[in-house]
Amino acid sequence: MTGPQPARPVPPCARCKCSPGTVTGRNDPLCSTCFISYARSKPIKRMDPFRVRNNPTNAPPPLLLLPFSFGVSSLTLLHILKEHMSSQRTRVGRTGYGLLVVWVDDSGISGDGPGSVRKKETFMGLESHFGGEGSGITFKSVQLEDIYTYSQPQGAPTSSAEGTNLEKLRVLISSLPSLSSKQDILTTLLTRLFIRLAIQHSSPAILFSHSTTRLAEKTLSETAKGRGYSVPWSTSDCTIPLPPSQFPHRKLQTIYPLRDLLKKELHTYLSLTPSLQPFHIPSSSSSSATPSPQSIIPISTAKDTSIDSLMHQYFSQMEQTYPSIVANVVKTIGRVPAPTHLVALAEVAAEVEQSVPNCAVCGFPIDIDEADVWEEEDRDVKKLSVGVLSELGVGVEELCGGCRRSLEGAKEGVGARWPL
Amino acid sequence: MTARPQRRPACLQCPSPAKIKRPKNGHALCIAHFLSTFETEVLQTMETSGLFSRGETIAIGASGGKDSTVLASVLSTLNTRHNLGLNLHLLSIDEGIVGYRDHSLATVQRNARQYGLPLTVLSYRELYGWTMDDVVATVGKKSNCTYCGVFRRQALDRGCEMLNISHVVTGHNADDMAETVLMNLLRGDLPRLARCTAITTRSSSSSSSSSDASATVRRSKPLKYAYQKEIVLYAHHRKLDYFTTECTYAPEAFRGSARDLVKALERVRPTAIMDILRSGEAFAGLLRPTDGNRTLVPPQKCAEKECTCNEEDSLGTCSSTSFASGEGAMHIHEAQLRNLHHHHHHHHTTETPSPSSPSPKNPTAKRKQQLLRSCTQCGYLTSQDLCQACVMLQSLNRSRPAVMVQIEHDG
Repeated sequence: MTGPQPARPVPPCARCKCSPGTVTGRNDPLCSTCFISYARSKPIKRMDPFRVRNNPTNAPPPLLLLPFSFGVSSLTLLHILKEHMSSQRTRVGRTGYGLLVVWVDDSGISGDGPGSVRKKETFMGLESHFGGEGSGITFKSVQLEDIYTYSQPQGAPTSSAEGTNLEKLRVLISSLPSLSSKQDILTTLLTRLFIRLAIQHSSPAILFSHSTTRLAEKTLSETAKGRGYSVPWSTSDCTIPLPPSQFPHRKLQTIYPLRDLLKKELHTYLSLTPSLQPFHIPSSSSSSATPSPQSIIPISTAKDTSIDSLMHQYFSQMEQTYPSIVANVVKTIGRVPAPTHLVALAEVAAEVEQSVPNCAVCGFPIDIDEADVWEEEDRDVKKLSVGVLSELGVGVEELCGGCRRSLEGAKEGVGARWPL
Repeated sequence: MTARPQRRPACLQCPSPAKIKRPKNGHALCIAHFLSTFETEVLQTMETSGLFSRGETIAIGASGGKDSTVLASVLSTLNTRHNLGLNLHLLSIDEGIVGYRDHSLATVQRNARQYGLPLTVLSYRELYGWTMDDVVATVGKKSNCTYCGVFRRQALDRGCEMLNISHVVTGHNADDMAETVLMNLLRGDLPRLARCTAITTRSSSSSSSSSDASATVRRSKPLKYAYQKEIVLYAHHRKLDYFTTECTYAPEAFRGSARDLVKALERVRPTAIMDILRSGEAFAGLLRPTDGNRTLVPPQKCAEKECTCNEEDSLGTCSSTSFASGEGAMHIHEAQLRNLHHHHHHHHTTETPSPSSPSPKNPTAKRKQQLLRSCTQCGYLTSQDLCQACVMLQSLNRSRPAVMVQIEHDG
């Protein structure tokens, strides 16, 4: 029926109708100007609590912590917020917030020395490009092993043979049984480090740069890791349930400003912003995750895959064909409420010294209303021995199901210690 | 089963060598202890959730497949061994799929003799005037699972009503449950996410007596924590007589994708199936109203086990998705979501109003979907004038007389 395809005319931009629609927004062709303004409008809406008028004139703007990874998401978010602050400054002469951009160097664990050097240089370049006097943006890099500097003094007895923080972290991670566990615990440590840093810098909120795609991925991988109970806290804009006994009267928000933008849309944003591209260092996991065209689920052997990377591959593929389904997963999980009544209870209970337990490893509250079958599951010493736990300095009752799972099968007798 | 038999560890519970490494938790067991542990766990599930009471009559939805065969075997074993006082009755539905159901029904008939249980067989043909093969010939393979799911669910209810039984058990296993949790997440179906992990759901009953609360049929899943792999092992080592062929019609796309995902996750971390179930139960807990005044929608019925393509099927109040299954379902769902996005440009999901988020503007809105009444045609409980089965039958029958008339003219 069809002969040789004639060159298809570029459709006009669905918004301004005058320029050619050269890029694809969620569903429509857009010109690059309209795409950029679409992409910016989404996260800026999420920043509503930090409008200029919410910040008293004489007070310094609140410093929001922005975890930075050199990936497309955090780089784009930094750029969008910088532009937002500039426009606030232009309009009213001051900004509603400031940014503390934090990069956590995990090369001690990943072993990527050359990558770390490159990132250090790039981070400095980023600082001179975005930071500086009057920018309202400060830059800070820390090492992942710094998490051990927050160790509780009343924790497990410190043995002299423990060594440096990096050695402690290495022992901990290498004691874990599988790639899934390692990745899960590393992510947990990273999140908890950001929380500690936010508290330390009196930051009222952490701005996580997860895209829609990343949040859908996280929703399903947390579900698959038995962390369903904490999913509303770990994927939605919320108040983090800090243990009130440890942080009385401290409120810390999480905001996901990019939750309404797909990963591929962030890539488009980056491609339309040449000034940003020198600062983009794709992570090895995202570059290797080219989804197989045959199957939405890659055939991979169990040993070299983790639950997180499996989900990453699944949704990278899903995003291409079914972007609205991906977005709908995130909207749906956003409607599962966190058990806030429990947190309120914990705040009251803290005063009477008996609080609802938070998990010693992930820090989220433990589900105390679970069915008996899970209690049984949690008592299985064949899978997680008392020895491992006492070495880590973690009580049996202080673990949620998800963290317990990640520690199951951990090596005993290697001196692994939990940092917090 | 280890690769190096010479280093085979001892059974966890006795000195004999372990023959089975349990997929569920990695425990090494000898065959005898695997079988008894499997049975004990089913008994525990039954006891902790107060599933049955002494003297109760239970219909076992029996397809002849591994799950329902193991369920029938374990229940009748436990009933005798622990003197539970249950009256067990096999209830089979003949969908009318040549080469699949006719063979598996023969298996169920043998099972009935083997366990000494009464058996009742109900067919789609006698209930609806259509076999599934006829349905497929009419509607094609696109939405057959939807028809089959709706028909089977109602057929089980009608069977129970005929036998005066108010409790039916199905062979849904842990893998099926995990699959459904992921599927409901992928489909953005919050109400089903809230109820899909419940061990017991109360189904609507058919007939005029549905106003009577006692007339509702309860559906339970005693194998909800049993891994599919362990069910196969149990059936193998107990030498159970079951039928292995899968339904010849392909599963619905969302379920198919969720199933692939569960299988892949299980390969990466075998406990993932249990963990998904645990998460699913947590979601249900989080979505449960806490003020004690509101009650959830009466849980929707779920179709019988063997063709899991459509249990907790795609027919919500958003009926526009309902006939979409097979390959096209994801595409159609995607297109609908796009349309919503286009028209509204604000947060929207396809789900029905969830119990946790009633419309704040209209306090009666949250009650709307709970107004259940009897189908004007068959009396089955429904929220519309006609129940889903009657709607489907109407559309099916519309094609039939047209053909008949033509034949008459020709003759």
